[in-house]
Amino acid sequence: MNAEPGSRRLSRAVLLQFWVFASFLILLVSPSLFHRLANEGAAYSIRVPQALQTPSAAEWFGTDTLGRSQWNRTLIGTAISLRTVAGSLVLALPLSLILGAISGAYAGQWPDRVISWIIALLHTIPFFLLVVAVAALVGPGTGILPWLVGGVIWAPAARLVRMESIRILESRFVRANRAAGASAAEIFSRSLFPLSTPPAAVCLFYLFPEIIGIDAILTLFGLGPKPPTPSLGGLVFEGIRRWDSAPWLAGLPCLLLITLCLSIHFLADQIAKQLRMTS
Amino acid sequence: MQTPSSINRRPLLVSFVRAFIWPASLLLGLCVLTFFLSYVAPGDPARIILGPNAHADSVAQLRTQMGLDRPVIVQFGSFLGEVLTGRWGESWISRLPVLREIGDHLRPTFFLGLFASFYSITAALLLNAIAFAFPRFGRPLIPLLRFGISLPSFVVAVAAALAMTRLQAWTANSSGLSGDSPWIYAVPAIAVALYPACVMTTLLRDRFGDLLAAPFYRAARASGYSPSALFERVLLRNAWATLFTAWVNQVSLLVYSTIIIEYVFSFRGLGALLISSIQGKDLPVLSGVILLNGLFFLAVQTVSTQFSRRPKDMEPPKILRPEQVQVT
Repeated sequence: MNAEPGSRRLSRAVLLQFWVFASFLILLVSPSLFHRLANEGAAYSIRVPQALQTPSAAEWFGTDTLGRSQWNRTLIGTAISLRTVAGSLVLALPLSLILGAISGAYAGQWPDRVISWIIALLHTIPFFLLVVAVAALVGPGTGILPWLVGGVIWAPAARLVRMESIRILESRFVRANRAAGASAAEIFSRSLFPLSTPPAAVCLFYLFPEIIGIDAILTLFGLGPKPPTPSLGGLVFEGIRRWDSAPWLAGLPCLLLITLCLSIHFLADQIAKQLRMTS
Repeated sequence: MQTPSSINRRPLLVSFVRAFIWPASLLLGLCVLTFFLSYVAPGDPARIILGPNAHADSVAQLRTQMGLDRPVIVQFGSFLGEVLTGRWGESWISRLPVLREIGDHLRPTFFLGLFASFYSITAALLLNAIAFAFPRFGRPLIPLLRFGISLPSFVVAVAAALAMTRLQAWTANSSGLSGDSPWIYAVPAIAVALYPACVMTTLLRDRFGDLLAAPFYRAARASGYSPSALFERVLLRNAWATLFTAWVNQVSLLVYSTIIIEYVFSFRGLGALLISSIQGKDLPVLSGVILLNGLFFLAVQTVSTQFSRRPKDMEPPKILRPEQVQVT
């Protein structure tokens, strides 16, 4: 271990908790933030005379074929995608922590085998196809997507948490705790969960660009939000059809999407960096 | 004195069977899930086939004929039997057998996947070989690749597809390929391969980094082996395992990048079949595609676990980097 002075270790631990907390907060708050920033009137009002304008100071992203403001449409579409991401985070993180902890605590016995089998099954099923199939059955535009994605994406994080749990539960300080009489609940809540949350969070954050991509592809299948509600995938794929005449229709939302994913990536990198320095 | 190996040796047949129990159970789970999907799907299959104006009696008759009013377990049993014997049902739209529909649409997807896998593996090997031979080139390469990985793969696929449409038109015109030749998939597959290539190059670079820092490598260099000889003996031999594992991790990504590329280029592959079966609510075809994909993933993962047995005490990294996270 590193021989850092105690104060520096403490500040690093605080920094780690800060980044984890801040990332969650940002992800959970961003959908409503984006929605609030968007001007719904401009996004939905059809003004055909102003169709297909290039980006300008008045219309930052230009206008689409019906004269609607592309900037506001992008904001609303991004808010919808981020809602999926945030919802799946809220479901997947606790699920992966709890199931990974159980699996690690009973490593080798039947709870571990059952949970590992479920994780292997989730890896076998083509995740993307499962999401598409269930969304096809349930119908477009319903709120099932965060649940669906969250219910599948906990698997990689749970595998990580399981390995971490095995490692932590065999470490000296946990054994000392147990010898001093700590109950299982105390060990789980004081030692296991705080230590395994950052790696699980990092794993999930790195997967979020994929979730946004899947959210976008669903509109290809007609399973996205119903028009006139804009969706990120709808904007991009509509814009692709007009790529030669109006490249800004697809290009600018894509740029926003890229910036979004890079920011999520940045958050995850910060947590990972703090983790690396405290390990 | 008994040696440890004679105590622990199992008959070969038993270990063979044990190795198959895990994938077989996963296969069963996959079938359960697919059956469950079609079982809870809203709408009456018989009514969907006969149309909304059919008489109630004929709908009921078709239901009995299709066996839809039997208990769930019996239905699942017959589903399992049909899957195992290759009778995967008929499409509700075209009345063709599902396997025939899949077979008709398999060609573009297969060739796109084949070319894309080839490109990404070759790119990984080539870029790393160049980075090994010319380290000055390797240094700016890595941040570029990491940036590429942090982009959502969907955006990379779309952008690359748009770039490739120009290239495809140019090459098709200049080489005069017919519509049936598999080489028309060569250029679009570049778009599919771009993101996986970044991931595989980075993973391979990490593996090479580990190997180059290993004591045995330094000892070999000190004994006088030249870098190029060591590249062939050490690095390349170890590269295949890493590349295979990386490819297995990227297979699901290849699947949906292929769907995007098929959409942009209007290829009638499995992606187009998936889209049409979802929009037409054609449940047998949808289940068939899901089952086929699941089987493929299961086979690939089973083969990969057989080949990459890791020693138990080798600890996996605690913090995964983005390219190491397996997209399910």
